[in-house]
This record gives sequence, C-alpha cells and structure tokens, in this order.
Amino acid sequence: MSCKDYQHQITLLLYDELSESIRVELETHLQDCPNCHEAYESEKTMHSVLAEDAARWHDIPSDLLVESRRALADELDRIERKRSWWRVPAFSVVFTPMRLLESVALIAMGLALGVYVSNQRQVSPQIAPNPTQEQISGIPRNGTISNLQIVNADPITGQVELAGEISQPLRFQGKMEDDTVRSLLFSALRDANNPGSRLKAVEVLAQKPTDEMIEEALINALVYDGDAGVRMRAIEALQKFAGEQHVRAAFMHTLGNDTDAGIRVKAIDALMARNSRDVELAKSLEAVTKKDDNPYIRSKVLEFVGTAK
Amino acid sequence: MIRVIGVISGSLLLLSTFTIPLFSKCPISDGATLIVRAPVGDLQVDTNGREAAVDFQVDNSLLQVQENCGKDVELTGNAPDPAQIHGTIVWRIVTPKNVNLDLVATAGNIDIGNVDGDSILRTTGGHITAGQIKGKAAIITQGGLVKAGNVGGDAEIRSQGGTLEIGDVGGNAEFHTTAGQIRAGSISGAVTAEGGRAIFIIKAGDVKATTNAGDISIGDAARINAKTAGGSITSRRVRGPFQGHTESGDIRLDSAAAWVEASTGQGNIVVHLAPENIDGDLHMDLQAGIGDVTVYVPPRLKATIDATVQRPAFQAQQIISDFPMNGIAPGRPVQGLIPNNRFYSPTHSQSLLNGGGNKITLHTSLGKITIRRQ
Repeated sequence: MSCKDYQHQITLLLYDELSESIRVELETHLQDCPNCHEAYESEKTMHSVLAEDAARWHDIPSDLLVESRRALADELDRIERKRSWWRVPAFSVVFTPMRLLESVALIAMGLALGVYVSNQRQVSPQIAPNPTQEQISGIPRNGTISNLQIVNADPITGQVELAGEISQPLRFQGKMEDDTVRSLLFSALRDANNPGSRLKAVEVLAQKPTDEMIEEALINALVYDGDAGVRMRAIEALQKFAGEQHVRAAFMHTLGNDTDAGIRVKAIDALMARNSRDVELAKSLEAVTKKDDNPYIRSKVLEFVGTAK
Repeated sequence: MIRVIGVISGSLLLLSTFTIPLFSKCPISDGATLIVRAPVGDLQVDTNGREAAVDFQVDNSLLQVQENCGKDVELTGNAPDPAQIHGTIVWRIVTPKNVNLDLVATAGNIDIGNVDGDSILRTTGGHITAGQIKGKAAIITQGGLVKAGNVGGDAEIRSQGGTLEIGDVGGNAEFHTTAGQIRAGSISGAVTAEGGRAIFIIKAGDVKATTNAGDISIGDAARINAKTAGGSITSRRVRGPFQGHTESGDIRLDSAAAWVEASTGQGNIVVHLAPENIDGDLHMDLQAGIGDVTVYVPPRLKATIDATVQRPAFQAQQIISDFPMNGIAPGRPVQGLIPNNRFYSPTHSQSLLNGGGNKITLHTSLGKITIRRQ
C-alpha cells in the first residue's frame, strides 16, 4: 500500500473499524513513516474535538446513525456493482494467495447456505409455530390496538398478515442519571398540550439542577415555555445559579421579555442576590429594564446600580 | 487645628444629611387607620407598640415624609431622584395592633405583624408578609409572594406571579396568582382560587378553583368546582356536588356526598360515593379519555349505570363490576342484550341498582371501568 492508501485508512482506525491485520499493518507503518504519522496526529486531534462536540448533540435523532449506515451501504453496493465481472475471484485471472482464500471462503459459504436451505425445508413443517399465535403472544394484554389493517390473507395457506398500532400504559422507574428517565422527562417538557406534565417535569428536574443537561432544559423552560407557572418553577430552580454566565443571560432575557411581572421580579431578585457589585451587570440591567412598566423592578435596578457603583 | 476641626465638622455635617434617620411620632386611637403611601422603599410595620401612637423613621434623608396626624394617621413620602438612592430605603413604623392598616409601597416589600383591624396592603412588585389579621384583608402585589397568617374576615389575596400562602380565613376568600402556588388553611366561607400552579386548600365552603398547570387538592369542602389544564384534582371529602375537569391528571374523591361530574383527558378517575342523603341527587358522569374509571357505590343506591369502554385493551377485562351487568352488543343497543361468551367481552354495559334511579354514566375511551360495592 502507498502512503496515500495508508492515510485513507487512518479515519477507519480512529473509529475502530479496521480489521485486526490491517490495523497492525497500519500501526507499523505509522511508526516508520513521519508523514503518515503527522497525518494521523492531525486526524486524531480533529477526531477528539468532534467526539467532545458530539457529546453535546443530544437532539440528534436516534435513527440518524442507522440511516447513515444504510446510505453508506447502498453507496458501497452501487460501487460494488460497477466492478467488472472478471474481478470476482472465481473469474479472476490474477491468481494470488488472497484471491485463493477469497475463493475458498466463497465456496464454503455457498455450501453452508445450501445445507441450511435444505435443512430448513425439511424441518419447517414441524417447528414453525403458527405465525398468528406467535405474534399475538407478543402483544401485551393491556395494550390497545388501533388502525388495524389486513395486509395479506392467503386462503390456501391460511397465512394472514396484519398491521396496526399498539399503545399500552407505561410505568418506568429509574434514577435521574438513567438515560431513559431523562429522555422521558425531557419528552414531558416538550408536551405542548400539557402544562401540568411540563410543570411536574420541571419540578423533578429541579432536584438536580447542577447537571449540565438538566440546567439547559430548565433554561429552555424558562425562556420558551408558554405557561407562566412552568417558567416560574424553572426560575426558582435556577435562581441559585444566577451567577453563572449562561443562567444570567437567560435571566436577562426573562427580564426583557417575560410578560409576567412576578417572573421578572424573581429574575431581578435572583440576579441582585448573586451578582452584587457587578458594575457591568448593573449597566445591562439598567438598559434592559428602562422601559419596564413595573416600578418595583425599575426601583430595584436603580438600587442595584447605586450599590454596584 | 481650627481648619482640621472645620473639615471634620463639615464632613460630618455632609454625611449626616445622607444618613441621619428621620424620626416622627403621631398619636393614634383604637380603630383608627394608619395610612402609608411610600413611593420608594420597604415598609416594616411592628404592631407591638404599647403607646397609643405611631412612631416612624425612614433611614434616608433624601426622602421627605409628610405626616398627617388626624383621627387617622397618614404618612406620605416624596419620590426622590432614583439616581441618588444608594441601597434600600426602609420605613420602620411602630404602631399598636388595634388599628386598621392601609399601606401602599410603590416599589418595595411590606412586612407587618399581627393586626386587630382590617388591612389593605399593596405593592407593585415586592413581597408581602403579614401576621394574624383579625379583620378583613386585601393583599395585592404585582409580582412577589404573599405570606400571611390567619385572617378573621374576608380575604382577597392577589399576585401576578408569586406564591400565596395564607392561614385560616374567617370569611370568604379570593386568591389570584398567574404563576404561583396557592396554599390556604380552613376557610369558613366560599373560595375562589385562580392559580398558575398547584392549589392546596385544607377546608372550605364552596370552592371554585382553577389553575393553568398543577394539582388541585381540597381537603374538605361543601361544594367543589375545580379545573386544571394539567394536574390532578383530589379531595378527601366533598359534602355537596362536585364538578371537576383536568386536561391531564387523575381525579380522586375519597368521599363524595352528592352528585359528581368529572372528566379527564388523560388520567384515572376514582370516586367513593358516600351520600349523606341517599334520596338526594346522586347522579354521576365520569369521563376519561385515556385512563381507568373506578367508582364505589353504596348497595342501597338506586341507580341506572351505563358503562362504556370505547377502545378496549387487547385481552384485559374491560368492565369489572360487583353488580350484575348486562353487556350490550356494539351498534345494537336496543335489542342487543347478549350473554357474555368467549368471543365477546362487553365494552358497553348497563345495570339497574335497586330498580334504577340516579343516572351513573361511566365512560373511558381507552382504559377499564370498575364498579365496586362501597
């Protein structure tokens, strides 16, 4: 392999997707070749940065990786189909040890497949369960079926294929650290039609506001939730972190935009309690609240400005 | 030397103009009203004064207070230039407790002790705390929390966002907050409570409670009308009719003495019917979107029960009853009384208890219905 070929393998090495033999070969080469080693170090740095960044991508759909792999597989198939027929090992004119190995493997696979298919045919009438029964046993008793459609019904074999939707009651227990628990709580936070559920989710998440993801979720609730009660509960949970830069920014946004005076009052009280004598903050607060229609807020800001100076 | 003394004296004089508190005193008689209009600063009213007089001091000389010592005592402050105010201004007032209070803090908190008379406490955004108020109370803030002890008469408590906490109320009560909780003790009269979050009332007469998000919990009430956009509604005992609706949450009545109309979008409904008058109006209409409906009825009740599960679960029993029920075939309610068989589990059943009478309608779109003997 040339250096160019080796450098193409570096990404796969970092994703741990190389076979053992190629990995060893590549690692040996990297030790001997300064240029490739430099390329490897550079790729590795980028890889670690991406890995750190990826840890914050919580909203990526879970099926994205599956989709990507599928697209990759399709593309590889397409490339594979373009290969000339004579490059298939059986027809290859180049008779190398690797080609020989590939041919043997292909023959072995073919034999194995043949044996498997013939066995299946022989035993299928005895061991195959009633497909309908098998599927019914997989449906929970308390599940509710809707939108049921008969996809296929073969009168000769009696085979019926059904499709529909099933919903069932959910009860899940776990710790706040569990991914499923968090996902469910974050899902509750996004339930646009149910402010009560959102409020309860905020109340539960407020128990662990030190967690970065939870803090972000609470900030989102404070800034974007349409229900004043939810926003108020979020600000109550965040108030002791009003000294942190991003929480402070969220509070400033609240002061400038929230229509509920009570929430603005909470924001101003928290900001003042956690950031006394911060001249820059005082100036920003003065600008943000200059036109606030609530005299208490204006007065508190002026008081803060006076104290900070 | 003289120059040094002069500089020191001058500095002290200058300093004193900013820091020397303003003292004053006005006589006040029993039942009179103390009126305070504070354009700036917090109001702290100590009601343990032993003299028949109001003492007050303001710890900032920028503020000029005008006192009117008539039958009622009125203290009014000017509004100083906000840019010159450094720190919090506090009005410290000492008064005997057998007076009425009418306090307005334009931009500050209000804190009062126990009062024998009526109290009107208003601020544009601060917090209000009060001790026991023997008379009527009107406590209003545009933003902060309100915390008060018992109120002897009627109470009107409002905040645009803050939480309201109040003890017992001797008369009727009105509570309003857009984003806070409401917590109240025993209320002798009727209550109207509109909250942004949970509402808790230990005991009351007629209750009308509405919240945007959060639970409604009423310990004991003569009558309840409750509505929440998301949260549970519970009551340990309701002595009269109950009407309740939640978009999402459970409804649970541990003891309902009269008719019940309850609905939930998602959640369970549990009602224990415990009538004080078995011949009274005891109809029930319980509707759950997604959730179970469970009702406990006394065996002596005359009732016509109609139970429907719109979308039954796959293999679970849909309607469970301690009383004999007649299953009705779907689409054939008139002639379709059919016995249960292995292919058919009823999703619509009827029953007549003691010859029929009070209409009990139980419905769930997705869930099960349970009818138990009390």
